[in-house]
Amino acid sequence: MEKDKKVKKNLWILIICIIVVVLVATALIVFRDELFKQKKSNNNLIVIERIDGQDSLRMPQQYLDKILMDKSFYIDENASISMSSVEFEIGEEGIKWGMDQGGLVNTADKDAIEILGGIKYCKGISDMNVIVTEKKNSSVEFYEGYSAEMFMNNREDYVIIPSSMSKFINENLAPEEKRMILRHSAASGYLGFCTIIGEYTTKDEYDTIYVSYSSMASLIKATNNDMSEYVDTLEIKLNEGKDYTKLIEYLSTYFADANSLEKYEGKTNRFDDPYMYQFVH
Amino acid sequence: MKKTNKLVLCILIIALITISSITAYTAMCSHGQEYWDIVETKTYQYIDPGICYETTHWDIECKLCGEIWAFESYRMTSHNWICEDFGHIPGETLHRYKNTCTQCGYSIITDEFCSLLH
Repeated sequence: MEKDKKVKKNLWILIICIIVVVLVATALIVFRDELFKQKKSNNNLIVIERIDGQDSLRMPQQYLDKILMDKSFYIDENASISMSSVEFEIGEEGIKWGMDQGGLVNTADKDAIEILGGIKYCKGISDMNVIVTEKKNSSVEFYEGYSAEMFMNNREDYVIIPSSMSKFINENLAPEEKRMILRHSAASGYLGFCTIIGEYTTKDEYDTIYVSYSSMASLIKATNNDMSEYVDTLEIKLNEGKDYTKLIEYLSTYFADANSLEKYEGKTNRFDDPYMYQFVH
Repeated sequence: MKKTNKLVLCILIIALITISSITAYTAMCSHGQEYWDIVETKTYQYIDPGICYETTHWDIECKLCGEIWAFESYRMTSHNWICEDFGHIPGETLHRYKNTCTQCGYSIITDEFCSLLH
């Protein structure tokens, strides 16, 4: 009798444990986005967000141009600015991609249309983290002689392709000869030449070509696009232990401080725009 | 003095006065921009697939005094591509183009992905 009671007690404990584990797991799955966002708002990171809560910033490029121009006055050398553009569609009415003659191979294969046609977007990025954040279980592999730092320097025209694409690129080309040519149907007279420096693997879709931020901006500028909704994400990574009071003051002339939003209601920023974006720090 | 000598002397004096006046006028000429006759010529040189080297040469003549200046300026500029369609590559998912820079004349042939198999 006593033994039965003990067994029952243990069984109840086990059931309660299972229920708790299931509840915690469910909570983690349901609130993973919110938890991730909290992680972003640490002391060393300033994230620009829309005040209306929408995910994509869709912010004018002029805000970023101004920040990059004034960067040396407010941000120390080791701090970095990470940004990405909105996605642009690949297609007859958008961006077309190619290579120099002989650069593409196996394009008569049965799966060529499915794989290459599945690449639907081009996106400008300055940081590999954008790929890791956007693509589930992804990793970026750089080809010999290239690195993430080179991409982040933002001085050269580089591109990272989906790994699904690599079998269509001629292996016999020298690394510097592996260059992708980008054209926009609305930008006659402009071609973008970007060296392919790596590829990403993912369990998500292989649907995006990641182009260095400035190269993407040049291509879109050539279409006479006003770039008023060009910036998708913007983050400033700071160094610990530095005083960033001046930077915060500077940012508040363009973006509302998320800690005191009420101060900015009904006011306009230095561009004479209403405050649509906030900085979280 | 003979009459002829007087005449020659007179002509010489007039010529001297005229030349001095022109020289003085030229020296005093304001070369106002509204009197400039400008001939601009641009030439281009291939640097790399993204860039041309542009040389702009100006010949400027002041229409008031006839003085001529020549200037040159240099800058890097993007190519200006025109695209010639070579059509689909049979059996491939590719379309071929010849791209030529209208400025420096550099050209490349590109194969671009095309979602239709031909």
